[in-house]
Amino acid sequence: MALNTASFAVFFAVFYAVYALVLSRPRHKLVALVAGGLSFYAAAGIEHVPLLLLSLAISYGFGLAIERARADRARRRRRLLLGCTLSLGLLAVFKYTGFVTSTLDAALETLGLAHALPALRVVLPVGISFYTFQSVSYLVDVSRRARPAERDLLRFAAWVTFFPPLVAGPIVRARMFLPQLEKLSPPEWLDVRRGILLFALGLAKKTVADLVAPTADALFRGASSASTLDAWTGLLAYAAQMYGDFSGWSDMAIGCAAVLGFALPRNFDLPYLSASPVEVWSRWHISLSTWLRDYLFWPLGTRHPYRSLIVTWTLCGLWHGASWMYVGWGLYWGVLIALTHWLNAHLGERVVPRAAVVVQLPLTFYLWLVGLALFGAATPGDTLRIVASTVRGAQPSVLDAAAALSLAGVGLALVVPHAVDWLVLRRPAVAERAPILWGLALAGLVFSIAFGEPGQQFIYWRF
Amino acid sequence: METNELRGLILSLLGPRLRRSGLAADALRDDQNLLESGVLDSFAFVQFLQVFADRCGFELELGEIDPASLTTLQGLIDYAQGLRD
Repeated sequence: MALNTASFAVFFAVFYAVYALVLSRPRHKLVALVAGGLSFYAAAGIEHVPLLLLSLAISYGFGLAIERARADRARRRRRLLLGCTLSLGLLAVFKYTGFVTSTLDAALETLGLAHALPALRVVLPVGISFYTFQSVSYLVDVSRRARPAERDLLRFAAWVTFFPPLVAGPIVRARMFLPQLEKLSPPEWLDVRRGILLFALGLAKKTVADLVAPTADALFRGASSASTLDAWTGLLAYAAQMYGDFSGWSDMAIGCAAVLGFALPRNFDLPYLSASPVEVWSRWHISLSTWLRDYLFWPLGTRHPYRSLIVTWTLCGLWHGASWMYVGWGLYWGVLIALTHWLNAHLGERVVPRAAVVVQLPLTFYLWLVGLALFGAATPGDTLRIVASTVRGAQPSVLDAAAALSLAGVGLALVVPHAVDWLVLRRPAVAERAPILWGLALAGLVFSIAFGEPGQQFIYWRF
Repeated sequence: METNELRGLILSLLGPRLRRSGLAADALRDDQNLLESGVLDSFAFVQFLQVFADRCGFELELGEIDPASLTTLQGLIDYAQGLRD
């Protein structure tokens, strides 16, 4: 069930009515949260509910087992390894079986053993990446003694099945969320207002994403014949689509949680106003980049940080999708980020002048667009053609009325969501004044009702 | 190493970074988060930790400890002293 559907509106209304009835009863609240989460997940595919429960059982059981073995380092490490392997194993089976068999098949074909393997198509359970990452972070945190294992199964299940971020993030760590489930404070009116605003703005951003999606799709379909104008318009549209789609989902999830009285981590912080590749990834999908830092990059070792960085980002690419294009995309960012750190290290005490931002901002955004060309194109050849077209297209550019309108629309789709987010994030005192807050929320809802197509899929559902 | 020695070592290792962020060494509070205050980014943090571990003579395993506990001056001193004890 997507957050931009009428069925979710009905679900949330019913859930909220039940939740309001049990507000003063903590155990009943937990039961309501678990029942709500399982119903929400079942609506996306009831056949995958047992998998969610299995993942929950693995992390709950191994959390306790790791804690019991705290005094015995070798045993604790074995239990951690087994728990993480089982959790990640579920993800691997469902996400990478087809990728591994098709890669092996291609390798066999080159050896003259074509079609030796049967084509396996495994349906990816929605949200499996997100709850697997949460499970791994919990097990590692218990092993590192960053938090105690949770003994209350009901409370643990309420964290794992908490529905707003369940299928597409943000990734919510146990150490942030379980303490909130211990307190179970009733929602404050200020949080409810903020939640409504975020939900409405998220919905509007998703609508913007859907409006520019056809322009981006047209570029990736006709990569070989794109003019320079087509390439720029298409890539800018894709940038607006990606931001609107994913940060829109995150805002809706954070908003829903706030209305229920829970705080989720911020997932986006004006990423297109970044001055370096490192900064982009400290502002885009923050819950994932900090997860990768804490549970992959740092444990990989401090002796060879550049190597650890490249490995981390290559795996990040593979996480985004089981294809070599995504691996290449991860490698691209790994190299850029490593290069940025190398430059920083060699700057020593020299301070980059503030004026350099005039070059850094557009350069970083261009590197982002190149990354998007890699992310969205079907083949490396298409990526190269699109990137080359941003400099010199396959056809001459014609800026007729339709092209100008399309470019202006894409420009607005990029600028307006960032401008509104800037107000909400950087000037919260202004954004939360009643007339501005309700005006923005109403504008977001009206815009979404007028231009939106409820039920359009979110890109990050497939990850 | 004693507390003051450790503090001196950490501040000398952080020196160039502190100067780049416009922070005086004596203005760095014991509980100030080095990542959140912009003194170090996640990459510089692992490089710094490795040099710190080498200078103190211990092996660093970031899979075993909560890195968040090492992001302050006090956390680093406590960790190094805990290993010694």
